Amino acid sequence: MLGECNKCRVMWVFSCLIVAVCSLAFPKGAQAQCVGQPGNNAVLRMCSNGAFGPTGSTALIDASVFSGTDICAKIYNALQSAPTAGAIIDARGINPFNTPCASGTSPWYNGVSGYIDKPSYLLLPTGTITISYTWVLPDKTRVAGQGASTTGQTGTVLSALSPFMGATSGYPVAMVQFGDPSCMDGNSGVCFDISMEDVSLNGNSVSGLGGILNFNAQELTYAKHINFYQVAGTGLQIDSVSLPYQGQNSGPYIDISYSGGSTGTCASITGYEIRGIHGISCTATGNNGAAILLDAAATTLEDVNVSGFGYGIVLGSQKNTVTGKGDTRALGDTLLNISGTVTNDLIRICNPSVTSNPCPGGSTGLSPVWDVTVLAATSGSGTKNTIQDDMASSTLPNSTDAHVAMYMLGEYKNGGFSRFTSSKSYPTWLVGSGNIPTNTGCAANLTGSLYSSTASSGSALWVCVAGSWQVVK
Amino acid sequence: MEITTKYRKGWISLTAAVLALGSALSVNGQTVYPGDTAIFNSTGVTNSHSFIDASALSTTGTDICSKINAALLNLANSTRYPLYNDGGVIDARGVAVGTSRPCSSSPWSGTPPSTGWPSATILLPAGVIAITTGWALPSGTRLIGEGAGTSGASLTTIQAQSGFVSSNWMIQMGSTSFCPLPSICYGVSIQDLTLDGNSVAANGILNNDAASFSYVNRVNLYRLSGTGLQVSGNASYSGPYSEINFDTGSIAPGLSTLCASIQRPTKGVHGLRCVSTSSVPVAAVKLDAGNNSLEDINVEGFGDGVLVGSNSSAQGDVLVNVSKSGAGNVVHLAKITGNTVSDISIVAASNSGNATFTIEDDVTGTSISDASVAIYVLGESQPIGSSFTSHTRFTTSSSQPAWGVGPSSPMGSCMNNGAIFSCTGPTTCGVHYLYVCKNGSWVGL
Repeated sequence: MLGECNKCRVMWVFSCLIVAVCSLAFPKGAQAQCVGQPGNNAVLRMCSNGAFGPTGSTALIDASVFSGTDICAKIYNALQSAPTAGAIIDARGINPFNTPCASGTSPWYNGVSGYIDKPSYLLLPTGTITISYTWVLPDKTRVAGQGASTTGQTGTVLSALSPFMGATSGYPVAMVQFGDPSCMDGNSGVCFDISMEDVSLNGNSVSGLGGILNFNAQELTYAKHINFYQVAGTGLQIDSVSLPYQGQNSGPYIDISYSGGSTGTCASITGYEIRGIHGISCTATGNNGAAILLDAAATTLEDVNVSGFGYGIVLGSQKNTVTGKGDTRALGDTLLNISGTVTNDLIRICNPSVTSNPCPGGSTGLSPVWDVTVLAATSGSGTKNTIQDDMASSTLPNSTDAHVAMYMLGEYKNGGFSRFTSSKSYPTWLVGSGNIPTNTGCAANLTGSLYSSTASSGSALWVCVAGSWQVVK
Repeated sequence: MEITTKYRKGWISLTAAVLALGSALSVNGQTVYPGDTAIFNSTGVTNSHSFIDASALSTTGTDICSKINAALLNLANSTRYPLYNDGGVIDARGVAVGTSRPCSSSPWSGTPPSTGWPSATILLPAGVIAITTGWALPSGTRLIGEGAGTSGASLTTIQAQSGFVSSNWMIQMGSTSFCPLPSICYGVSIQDLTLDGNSVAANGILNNDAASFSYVNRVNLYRLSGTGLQVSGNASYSGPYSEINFDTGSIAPGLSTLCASIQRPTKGVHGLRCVSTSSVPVAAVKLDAGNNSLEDINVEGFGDGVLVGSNSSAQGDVLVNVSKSGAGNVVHLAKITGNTVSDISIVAASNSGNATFTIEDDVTGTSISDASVAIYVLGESQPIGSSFTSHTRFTTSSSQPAWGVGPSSPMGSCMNNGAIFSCTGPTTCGVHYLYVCKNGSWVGL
């Protein structure tokens, strides 16, 4: 190597000079006396003897120097050494080398003693980290990888190994869990400020295995740039029918992708309001189920794209009113820019009294869905309906309503729903600059629609009655 | 723990050797790579591969692009550096930059490694990174600066210099050479920096080839006379594109100066401010695709704020909180033969001052000059017999047929034929509870 170029030779001589100069600067009699704890950054400072030397900075703890046969063990031991108040744990220097984390362990649990419940900002390395036990992120834990990728080719990948074991009894088994029932930030009984970003979760099609589960973490909790790849369970699950409260006010959940096979759900949101899902792509192959189950109040779903599922977004298909805890049904939700190609309905609004797949109806105790706003929904060719609303008995088929600018379902009163839609399949409001000539027909599906003329003379308002436009005034 | 002289000498020698040789060394059983960071272990100072400090790499060129290039090649060199995983973090924050140290080529120039360019998170320093050629970012590249700052006072600035071909893009997210079709690049992101065209480069960021997990966040596009951000080609469902600022600054914008051109469905543009020193440019944002959400858009100068469907069809878009000041329309729905513009929802459009129209809808021939409009929804066209075509449309604008509600009968004249009014007062509505505006007067039904 030294012979490769003169420049290298010069550098080598120069480096030797540096060594010599440094040796002079730190003579044997003036040894630097600085100290550092394992994992500390080495930074230069003036030590107690007046000489410069490397000393430990607690800016972060590098997990690579800690003992452990796998990355989980190394991080665990780094966390053990961290102050109670928390630390940045830098695991980027560890090459996981496909060495699986030991069964029953995670970075916060060694399989023997209790969980390490310390706040931390954990930096994960590029590469694949194979796990077979749920990572339960404690209160105030932030995990950042080196990027998500479409099929887990690059960046940081958590890869599931079968058999996969959950960490919390009674919870669905997921690869990552935001908190657990022991969460106790202050006296709140919940966790806060838990997040994961720039990571791919490869479920390896392990049966029923979910991606991220949030049953216990609220404000400042979010997920961003996450890919759920080959996740056979639910990619992102926020609360459940039986536990519909603890994930409230979490989010936003941003830039999420899910790619699965014939089973699984892209996302399920149940209970109280969250800070929205903004940007989610759900892709499956031959999955007859729903991509997104929305059974929560005051939730925004924005920039959603679905393909390969039977249904896109299904509202109100799960019983979610629990005695004494208020109304947590799908109520007051907003759906913006929803697109996709599915077999049946891109957007489905269930009715408790209507039993029709995927809406169980009947005696399942479902709550009615009200006050839903849909702006900009587009279904691709092959989709049966862009919107199927069982509450107001409305069907907006792809054949005539591939694009729907607005569909607002209000509330029930006097035998009908307040409802506004720009679709021509149902009563709507048309505006034009001309007066409608007498005996002009209108399509049957427009019956009840209004037409306003902006012309300065003639009539002003028409209504579609039994196949023809009738002047109202 | 104490650092012994022996250890200190060993460490310094080791570091020097690695610096000089540019290859891995084994010292005291520890494998050291160039640019490793120094940390403590239980016996003293050792090294970590957590990131490559690019400033420590010896390269032929001294500019930051050469340093990053060397680091990228090291990341991909599994023979020499097997502990890397064909990817990692490159910390270039310690590399000196400035206009006196211009990059002669892109960090991804030269022959790619046999396995392709590695995925890398690249941390850029504060200061001016002077470039004379554009950067095309391969899959898995995350470019992170120290902050976009304000126009002309940024923390990390990638600045075009003399010699940069004006029509080229300063940054391309992916390329067909990195990801030959049918494959598509992914995971390309840019955040916390400024792209300064410096009156040399015309165009900022092009995403024509990167889809999933490809986004732009907190980026300032400064002094560009062409297009700031373009999403096109194979970049469907990329994004989100958030917290982006475009400012022509001291340059004179032209007719074609454009803050953003959205030609594919995305995960949204959320938070975009476009400033032009004049209203010469036709539009700030051109939206020529369906299935997009444009949210929190503010425009100053330019012609139109958001121009929809001028180059291609746009169906199924939603615009939320769009405002503009200066001549031109806040939102303009174009009617161009061959392009379909329908199913557009506009929520909260505002004229911040002197805009021509808040909403100019060529499709229906509607011009709304209200200072603000809560909702304007253009649905689809509906023939009325063979006479003419109407459109489903809902708006809260008081200058259009809208649905008013009040406790008393509407009084006086009305401006908008076809508007309706619901009277809700139990005793103040007289004999009518629904009125229509006809020929300038309210008429009870």
